[in-house]
Amino acid sequence: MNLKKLMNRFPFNLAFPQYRNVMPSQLKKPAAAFELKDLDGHVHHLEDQPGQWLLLVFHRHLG
Amino acid sequence: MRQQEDQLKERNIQVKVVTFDDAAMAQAYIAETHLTWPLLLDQKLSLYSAYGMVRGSWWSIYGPKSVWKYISLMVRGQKPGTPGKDWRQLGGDVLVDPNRIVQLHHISEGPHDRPSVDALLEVVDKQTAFRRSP
Repeated sequence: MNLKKLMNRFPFNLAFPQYRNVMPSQLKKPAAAFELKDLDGHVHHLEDQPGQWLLLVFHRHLG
Repeated sequence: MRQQEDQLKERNIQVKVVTFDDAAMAQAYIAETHLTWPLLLDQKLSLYSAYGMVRGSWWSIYGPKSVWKYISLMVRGQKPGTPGKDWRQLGGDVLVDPNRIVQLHHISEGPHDRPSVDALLEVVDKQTAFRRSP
């Protein structure tokens, strides 16, 4: 088991909350390319609508 | 966030919502919430993984901060939803500038932890020297 998985397990995640989600921030780095479909089957890419800001909202769940 | 949709439009911010839930659940969500933004399906979690949005611990989902968040939602008349296929999957927010550089990368620690719209707008305003009208 690697360190990241260990730190996300109880009780380590309580004792060492600073180590949760240990992925380094992607701040100021190039955004990840993607190709994802919506419900209508339209494919969306990072490069859609150039010149605009893009806010990606990642849902926890839709319930 | 949808209550401040006009402010997002004013700043030329395109919003895309990403979910790992399936198409049926997404359809039901759109019908219920009248979501106008595109809802992208990422069932393989490829984009979630690219931004480090992992599964949270039991504590992060049902700890005191989350319970408080749910209580405050219920006080305001909102019902917490039924968890989807993975109640431990965390979400977050990523704001990308027109040059496709990440200007905000927020991985939620639990349901209580989302940046406010004002915080998002502040990032954009700082970058673009946008002046809000009085």
